[in-house]
Amino acid sequence: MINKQKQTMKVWKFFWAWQDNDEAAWLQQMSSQGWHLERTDLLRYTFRKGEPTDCAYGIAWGSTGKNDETEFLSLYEDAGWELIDRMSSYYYFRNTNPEQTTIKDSGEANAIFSNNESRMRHYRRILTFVAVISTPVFIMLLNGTLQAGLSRPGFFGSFYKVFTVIIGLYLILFIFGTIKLIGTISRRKRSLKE
Amino acid sequence: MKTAVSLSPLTEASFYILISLTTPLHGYGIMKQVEDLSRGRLKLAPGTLYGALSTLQQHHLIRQVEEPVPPFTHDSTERNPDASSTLRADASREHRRGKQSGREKKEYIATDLGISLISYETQRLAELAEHGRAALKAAALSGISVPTDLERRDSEQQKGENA
Repeated sequence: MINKQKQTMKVWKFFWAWQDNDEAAWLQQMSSQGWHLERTDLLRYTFRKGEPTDCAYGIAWGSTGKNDETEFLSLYEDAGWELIDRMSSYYYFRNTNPEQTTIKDSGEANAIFSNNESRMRHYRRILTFVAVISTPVFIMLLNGTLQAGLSRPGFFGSFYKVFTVIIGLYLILFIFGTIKLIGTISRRKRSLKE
Repeated sequence: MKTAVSLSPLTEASFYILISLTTPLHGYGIMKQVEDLSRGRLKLAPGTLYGALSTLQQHHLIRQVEEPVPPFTHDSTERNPDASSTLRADASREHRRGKQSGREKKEYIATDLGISLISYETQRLAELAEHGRAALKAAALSGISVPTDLERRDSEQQKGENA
């Protein structure tokens, strides 16, 4: 959706956690057409019109704790990476000097990492988040709403049943994500490159 | 705590980070130092460096320097006489600037365990290089052509493809 007055465009798009290279490549391509990422929300990207430029993008899964964050961000900034926005724990960075990045050597568009090991680590941290934190929470919620739905008749009962179905669908999504992430990590493990 | 031997082999990135920390450096200083040491071949992206620093810290191979270390302390120059003096000056200037703007930058230095691991890895890598050279010599003797200077050849080949 293009807003001509503000020179911005909002695009709804979905990438899985293991598609960070595709996501960065897409953002790079948008910049080469003059649309530079300005804001990230859940599933929605806001771009601003500018000069078409050659940029590199980086997507990192964030740090924990406040003290850590300043250190983390100053390191990226010193290395020529500008923080665009963060969405949940994802940090989006841009480097307007892609020659200085490893993007061409590695053929992987998410240029915030320069070796296989750190990419694997990135997926592992997301996997830990998804599997260890989210799954038990969903199971507990599902169990709670299921029992509440069965024990309560009438309007509230059906409300809980609908809620149970929604959470069930989310759970399936998260299990799918876990399996895909494990697959991504083990494919990288088999790589000869470190 | 683990022994140096049990932490071997290090990845190339971790090894270069560790050897650059025989003198205290902050994150960006490490990036520059590693790029200089490898003559521009190894560029550390910030995500990779950040991850490696926390792993090295977890294994007590490096630690944070509590107080800003003045440049050219007896200890640091003795350990690494080749440390580039301009880099040190840069680092301390950067440090002052960070302080002025109220943004302290953490500096890191290798621990004793880190130094032991450098020593072990250096021997191991020398062994690798020695066996590699011997294998190439044997290959050359049996009439197999051994390419040298692959990097230049690769980049020339790429240029040729682009043209």
